Amino acid sequence: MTAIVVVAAIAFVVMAVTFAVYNRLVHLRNLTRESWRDIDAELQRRYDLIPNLVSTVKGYAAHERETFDAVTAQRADAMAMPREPDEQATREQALGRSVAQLMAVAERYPELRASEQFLVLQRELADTEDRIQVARRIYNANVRAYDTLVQTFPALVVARAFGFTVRPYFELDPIVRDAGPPPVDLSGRM
Amino acid sequence: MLPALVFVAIVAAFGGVAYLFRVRARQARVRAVGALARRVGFTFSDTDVDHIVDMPFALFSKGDGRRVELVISGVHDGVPMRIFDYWYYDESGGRGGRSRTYHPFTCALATIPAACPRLRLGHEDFLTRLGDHLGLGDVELEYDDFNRRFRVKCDDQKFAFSLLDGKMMQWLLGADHFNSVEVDGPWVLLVEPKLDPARWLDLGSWLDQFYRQIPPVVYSTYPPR
Repeated sequence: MTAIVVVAAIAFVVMAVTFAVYNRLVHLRNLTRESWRDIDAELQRRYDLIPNLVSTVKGYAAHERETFDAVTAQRADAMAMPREPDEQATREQALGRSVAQLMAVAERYPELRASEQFLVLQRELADTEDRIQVARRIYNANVRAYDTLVQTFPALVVARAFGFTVRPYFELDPIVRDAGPPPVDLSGRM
Repeated sequence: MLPALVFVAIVAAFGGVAYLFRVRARQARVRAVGALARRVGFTFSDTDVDHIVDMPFALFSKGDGRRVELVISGVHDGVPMRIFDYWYYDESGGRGGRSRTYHPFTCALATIPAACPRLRLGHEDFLTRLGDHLGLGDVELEYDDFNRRFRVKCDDQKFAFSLLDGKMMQWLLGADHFNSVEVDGPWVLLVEPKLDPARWLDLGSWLDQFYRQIPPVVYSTYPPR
């Protein structure tokens, strides 16, 4: 009789731990998926900015055709289809390099650098890069929590049994560095 | 009968002397804070005329009673702020009557041009680490040093990551002599253990540097309402 009670108690504890770990794994996996969607939204914001940037630079430097074609092609490639984060990162890095080259071209044209439209686009691009970096850090933090659970005992037993696998990190360098805090007049705000 | 009366008289005398010392200490502090305000061009009020104590910070909801006093207001290094004393007390009752334990602080309050979700930055201790293991975790950022030292409570993970970027975390690790920092709406509250008035402007300088560390993405993602 005692043996049955002990076995039942052990079975109960094992099941309770399994349920708790399973639910935690599902929660963290959903969190990583959700944070990946946030990255996607910010990348989309960058894709939307690029055609405007290209056409603005084109207005001043029409003969830099090679650079424009490269940016357009890399953008189309990055947007093509949903991919795993590591593969997407490779495409985004290539797009980032093309955009950086486009910005370098713009640097050679003082009139373009001074134009209001270009300055606005430059600011929006810097802001978008910052947003992408925030979304990327959140995604990686969630992946770290999820992967750690998937790879550590006793959760790894449940993870293997139910097919939870590690998620890749998303690494991406910003195209442009931020320009510091905006010039805000704080006087008289208190 | 006579010894009892002598005992009562001695206790009353000690009580009176202690009260007198407290009153004189407070008067000296009021004078010192008033002089500081005049020296740096701030306005001074010995009471909480702006009802700062009603603001929605976690610190202002602690204890059984609380007060803000000795408030100086002005602009320090371009950042408008208020610096003040704050205390709250916990009451505990027993058969011998109720007793109060006071918790005194000096705080600095500044505004930033953003509408921030509520965030509280405190320090990790044994109990909070235990809470982390029980699933009562805080926001975990990518720097282990930072996570080990600080506890970040914020319902909006995106805001926590926007505010606490690499530069800000690095700076906070080097400027860690505060009790806690709270952000809510346009307000930033810096809390330190009660300070001598001669050191009050250090709080202003800290807030000024904090303001300069805020990443631009905070202003674009959480613009003022």
